[in-house]
Amino acid sequence: MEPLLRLRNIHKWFEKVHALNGINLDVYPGEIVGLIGDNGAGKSTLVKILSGVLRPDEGEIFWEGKKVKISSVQDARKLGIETVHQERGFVDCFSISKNIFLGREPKKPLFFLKIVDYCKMREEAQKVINWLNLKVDPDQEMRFASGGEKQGVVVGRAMYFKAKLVILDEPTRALSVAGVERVLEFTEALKNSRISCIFVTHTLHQIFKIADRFVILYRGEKKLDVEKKEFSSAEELEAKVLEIIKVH
Amino acid sequence: MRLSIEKVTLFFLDQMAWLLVALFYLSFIILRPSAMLNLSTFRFLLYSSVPLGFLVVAEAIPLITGNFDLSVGQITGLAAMAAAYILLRNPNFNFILAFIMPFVFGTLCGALNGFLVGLINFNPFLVTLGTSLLFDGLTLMIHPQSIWGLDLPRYYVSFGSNEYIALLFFIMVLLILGLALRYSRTGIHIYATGGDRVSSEMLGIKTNWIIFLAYTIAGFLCGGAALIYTGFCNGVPLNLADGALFPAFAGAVIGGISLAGGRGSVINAFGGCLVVGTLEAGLTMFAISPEMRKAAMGILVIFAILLDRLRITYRDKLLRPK
Repeated sequence: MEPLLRLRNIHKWFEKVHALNGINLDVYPGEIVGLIGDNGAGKSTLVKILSGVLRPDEGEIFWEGKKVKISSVQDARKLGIETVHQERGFVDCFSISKNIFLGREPKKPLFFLKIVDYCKMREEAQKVINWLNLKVDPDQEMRFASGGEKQGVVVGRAMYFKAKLVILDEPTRALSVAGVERVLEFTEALKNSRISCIFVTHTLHQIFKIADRFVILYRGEKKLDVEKKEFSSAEELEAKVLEIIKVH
Repeated sequence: MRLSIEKVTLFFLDQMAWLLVALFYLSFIILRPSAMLNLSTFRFLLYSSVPLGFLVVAEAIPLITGNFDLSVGQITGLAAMAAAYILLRNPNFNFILAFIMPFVFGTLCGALNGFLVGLINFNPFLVTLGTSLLFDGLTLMIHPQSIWGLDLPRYYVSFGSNEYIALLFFIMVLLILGLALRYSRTGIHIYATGGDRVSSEMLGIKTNWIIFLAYTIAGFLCGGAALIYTGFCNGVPLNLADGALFPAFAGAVIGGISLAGGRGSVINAFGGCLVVGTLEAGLTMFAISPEMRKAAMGILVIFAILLDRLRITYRDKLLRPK
């Protein structure tokens, strides 16, 4: 099976800091990849490159077999890459349905004009809410949803607009236990829709259950790229990770 | 939708400007029933709010995007003076072009603001402070004296001086603008830019162009104000709309345009304008001195900011799901 996304020899420098040092990464359709590393490992740099915020200094990106350049956020979205952040990517004072369609509002004709179709937005938003069993109302303002539910809305949006790869950027940071559970549910829902997922975190055990593969970054380098089935428990994987880090 | 105490309170909160107008008007009626309780006073109150109304809506659009425009009064003055000067020198100027002129000049001024704030990304406070001085200077350069209405074409001055035409024109503009803001993608994007600029950018909204558009629309509306003011003042006084920024700002905020950006409707902004207009009418009626008027206006601005804060807090409480 051909990988959906292939990164070859990606390098990124910030002044003298070598943030990403020759990263090779493959992501296959419908798999959940846990991207793990401490602060300074290069996780967020890699995410920014994939989501179009930054451009790599060296290296190539292949999408569905073809070489691409991701020069902007719009480029990434056009390819089908969506990024989910805890605090960004939505407008707090807008309703859930408006947020789902922000930037891509559906229109309907009115005489010679085309006006925004609020009814359709609400209906479709309710569908998205039902897919993920979100505890929100389409007309409710986004800011009243909890951190986990907000990310659910953004995940739902990615699903609705048929994203192929969703990057969850530290989605469980600062969430309650229930919130974390919800985020894991959303991630599995993505997988069930054959949408690939890169789940960025520094806590391995949270995604051990649902991830297919683990990629460990350490100081800009990829230190480990393993399938979950090679490990029987999160602790075993953690031990292996510590072993690798200790060598450095 | 079930009617509940919360929904009713929310409604009143959102429509507070209209309530305040009613409140002020009623208190003035009580204090001086003879003057206030007749139709022509009411009609005049509405009419005299129109020029300020244009400015309130002009200020509202940049506010919605999370920015400021300190130059609305000066754009109005410049647009009015430039158009009037051309008409002064060319008495047989084309009828249609004459009406278009103030809008064109206003739009150009607004576009300058929009270019500097939106596209070059300068600080809106500093830019519009600078352009307000620039426009003021240009007004004086064009014609350093007031232009009397008698020296201008009859049709041009009578547009703004006719109560019904002016009010009708304003309501038309208000409705078109309000509907466009609500039912067009660009309108939603204007609110989104104010609500969260970074997120809007992430979602593909070109916020710098949105901001450019917001200031340009503001300039266009100032052009409308210029036309109406010319009729209202029967000419172009040198200091036309000089001090109009604060009432415009107060009117917009009282009318529900949040200082945080991203929310508020221009229709309600007109309600806020009426609050200011009613208060000003009342101050005139009771012959309050100019110094006290200034103080009253200052208090009104502070009150507007407080109201904005209270409104947000209270709305939060009401809308938060249980």
